[in-house]
Amino acid sequence: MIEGEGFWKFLERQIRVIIARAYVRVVGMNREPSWMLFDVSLPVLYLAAYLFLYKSMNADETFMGCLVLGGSMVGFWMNVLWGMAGQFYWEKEMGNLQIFFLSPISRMSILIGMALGGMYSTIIRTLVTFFLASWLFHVPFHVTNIWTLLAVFFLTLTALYGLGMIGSSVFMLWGRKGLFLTELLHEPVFFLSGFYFPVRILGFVVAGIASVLPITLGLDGMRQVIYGGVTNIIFLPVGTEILLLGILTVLYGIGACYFLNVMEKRAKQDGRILTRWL
Amino acid sequence: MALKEILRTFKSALWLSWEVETNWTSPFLYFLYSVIRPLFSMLIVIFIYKVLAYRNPNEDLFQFLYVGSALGLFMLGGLGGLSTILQDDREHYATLKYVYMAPMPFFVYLAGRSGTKVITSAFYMAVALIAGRLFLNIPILQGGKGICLFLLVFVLGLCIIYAAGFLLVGISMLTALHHSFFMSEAVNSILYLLCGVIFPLSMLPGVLKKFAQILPFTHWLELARRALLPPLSLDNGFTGISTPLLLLIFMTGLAVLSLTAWGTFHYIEGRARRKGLLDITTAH
Repeated sequence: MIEGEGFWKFLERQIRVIIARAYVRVVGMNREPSWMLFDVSLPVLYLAAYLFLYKSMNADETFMGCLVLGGSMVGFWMNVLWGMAGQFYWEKEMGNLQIFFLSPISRMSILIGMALGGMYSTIIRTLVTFFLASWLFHVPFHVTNIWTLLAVFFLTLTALYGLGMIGSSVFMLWGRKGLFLTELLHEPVFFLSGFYFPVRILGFVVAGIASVLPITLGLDGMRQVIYGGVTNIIFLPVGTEILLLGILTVLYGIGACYFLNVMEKRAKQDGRILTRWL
Repeated sequence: MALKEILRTFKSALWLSWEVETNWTSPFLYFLYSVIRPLFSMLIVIFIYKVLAYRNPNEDLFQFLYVGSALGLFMLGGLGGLSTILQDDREHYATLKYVYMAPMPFFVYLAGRSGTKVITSAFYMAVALIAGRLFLNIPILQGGKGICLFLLVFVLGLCIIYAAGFLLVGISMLTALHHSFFMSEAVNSILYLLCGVIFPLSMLPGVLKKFAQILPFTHWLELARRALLPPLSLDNGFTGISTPLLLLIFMTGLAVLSLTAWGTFHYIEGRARRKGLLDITTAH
């Protein structure tokens, strides 16, 4: 807060920051129509390969549905990794990070703006991928309770982007090391969170550990609501998952505030805010 | 152009690429990093198989799937790594203009600069294949059969990765950063879908199957599978075509692709130079 500034003025400024940062993301996505085409078609191509594999093994509709949902949701994890956690690296490289630090704005507001803008574009991409893959491969779905679905979906996103904010604090200190770490979080997370198969298959212990990633619980919960026949392969009841996602949302939100402050302080002490290419 | 000059350029560029890729950590951690990714990639396909085949196991399909995924790590990883090199140097490190002005063959530099990514992809494949042989009892190169064919196919695999990679590098000279990224991803996705990496080509609808059957990458995968595994009872679209004939078809495709890549690369290089695109920055 600036000295002498009231709470409401402070809040208004932060909301303006959030809108401004989200605006850049949304406009950035729409300024080149071909990007939208690529954004939508590329995940469908990858997903189609897995769907053909499932078909070659005579998988039933429930499993195909689990795959369609998981494959569509990959975009969120990639967005959290590269659009949230890794974004501070690129801001540092372009010289924006120092401007953020000089401005009288909260780092959290910038990250919330990034998250909202990223969510908007990724939701569109995910929905198109989901409906297109379901249509092309004749995978039926039936939402049993829209409100439960929305609750699981948005709690998953808030917890997930909170985790992304914690990840972004790492880039205050790390440069390329952070980028490689980000790359390392592709396949292991795809595996542990059950993007391509129900997470229950991994057993309760592994699935329980993987539940620190909100997408694990989110995918399992959404599969239960969208595909009724998954009763024999569910990990936890959807109500429990909603509760856990709520707890994760709070924990990761607090964690993000804490780590951003700690890492910022350390980065300033070590002189890492302005370093490039390291 | 003297061979000595080519070798020196390649060696220097390879050293540079090794430093860029690995000097962020210790060699041990880099080794761990290099093992974890392919390991989890393979675990994904193993568990997909485990989930779907517990009632009706099909060993041939599992071998097809596992070996195809391992080969895909090399083929697609190498290609993906190569096609992004130019953008890295031009946009991120902003060194391309200095490299271009240096007295060395440009394409040899690019070949060396992408060397670590191609080598890493080959390492991923080796890790996956060895793990499959040791822990899953997949009969990969059982009794040493097919090792000569596999070595030949591996070298030809490097050739096709570089040929297709140079085609993409050439095109990316004319494009902005984001377009190059999408182009590379698009090519990888299409090859992943159409080349029979994780499922037999017989699953594809008619037109797509016919198109897939003329792609040199599909021929390479089929040849590599034939070298690594005993004959499988799956229809991958090449039943009745002998291995020597398939090799000939592949070599023809490789020659056409290489000539196209060579011509395109040099044409675009001149065009990019005339248009002043070699040092353009289109934002990270």
